Amino acid sequence: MILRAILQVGLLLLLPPLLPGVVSRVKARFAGREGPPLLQLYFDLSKLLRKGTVYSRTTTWVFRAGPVVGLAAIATAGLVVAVAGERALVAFTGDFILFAYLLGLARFATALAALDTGSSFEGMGAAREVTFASLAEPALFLVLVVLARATGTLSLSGMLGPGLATAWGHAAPALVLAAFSLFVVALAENARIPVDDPNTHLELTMIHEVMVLDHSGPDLAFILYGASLKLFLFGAIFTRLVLGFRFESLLAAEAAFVLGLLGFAALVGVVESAMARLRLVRIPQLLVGASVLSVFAMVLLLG
Amino acid sequence: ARVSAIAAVLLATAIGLVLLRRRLARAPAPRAETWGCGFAAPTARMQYTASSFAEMLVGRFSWALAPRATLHAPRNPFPTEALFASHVPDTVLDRLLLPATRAAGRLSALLRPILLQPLIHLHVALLVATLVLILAWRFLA
Repeated sequence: MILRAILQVGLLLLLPPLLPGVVSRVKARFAGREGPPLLQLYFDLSKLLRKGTVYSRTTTWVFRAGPVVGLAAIATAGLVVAVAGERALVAFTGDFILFAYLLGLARFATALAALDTGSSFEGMGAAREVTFASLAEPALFLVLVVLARATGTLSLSGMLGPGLATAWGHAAPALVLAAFSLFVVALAENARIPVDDPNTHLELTMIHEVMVLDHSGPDLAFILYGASLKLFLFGAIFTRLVLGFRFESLLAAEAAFVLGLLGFAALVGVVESAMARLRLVRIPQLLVGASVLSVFAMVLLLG
Repeated sequence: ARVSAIAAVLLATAIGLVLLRRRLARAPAPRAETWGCGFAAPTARMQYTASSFAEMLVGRFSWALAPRATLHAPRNPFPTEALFASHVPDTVLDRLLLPATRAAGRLSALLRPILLQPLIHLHVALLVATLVLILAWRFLA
């Protein structure tokens, strides 16, 4: 029990920076290059933590609070996610709503910090991010509602726990649709292609990158770590949804979970390498399409 | 109780991160200008305003928010002046409640000369009729 808790918290805190490393490696291999080391983000984070910070004269306490609140909210959201099919550290009925809104709190703090700098560059990024989030959030809720209906429980630990295996037995098509929709939502929430290019730095095209442009030193380390943690959380739900079966031993479950998570990161890398970013006016259509897929899945389950 | 536990964890993590950051950065942080994409001397006329940041979101929900915009487009070569102003009125207040109360005021203004003539008998008859109606509704329904 204590061992399980330690394992979960350890996985939650230590594994996330590996995922962007996997994504970059896959993208580099697709482009024919060797790519940065897999542990690059760990090195970057330790380097940033040792650096000094520069604050703009226009910023106030809101700018200093942004990265802190963002990372705290995302890390707290990790407490309700069922890692590797075990019960989450804190589980209760309706905890998926808390999960979605803790992530929303993180995004709110980041957008506020972006607006606080007084730069029109970052304000536009915040405006775009908030607009797309207003469409991604219903899509996420619809996916979670499909999961709740399929497994019959209202808690993330129940949705991703033992009930999932029986749900795959009788509701497989709905869960496949939900998994696809969840993947699109994960790409949108983590600012990946086709929603946002994490490598672009043109004012016209940046969405998430531009909101964190003015942070430096430990603030930037918090933001990068928080972004990798968010990718980890979405990957955890997606991996558990896809690998729905039960495992006997804790070690086998955790090993399968880690492998599935690395597979999710590789899949994100493949999608990033294979497509270009969508035009900004098409992104609402993509998110509405993901919502419609979830609605179809719900209709399948209502019969 | 579990939600309070999560809120406590959130607060504790935030405070812990602030303390960590304070410990990591010992020297006072230098202050500089916000990186501003090449505008060497921006003025208020060329800055983004709050309504321009919100324009994307307001446009998506324009069926609910109903923004109003005034536009005098620049005309002719060498235009002298141009004007653009946009304004998002409070939908429920300005479009539903205020016209409804104005209509109710007009209706009562119409009925006032009929119902409020200075005749005691009419007032008493109205009172008795309302009382009879209420009692009938209470005992027959």
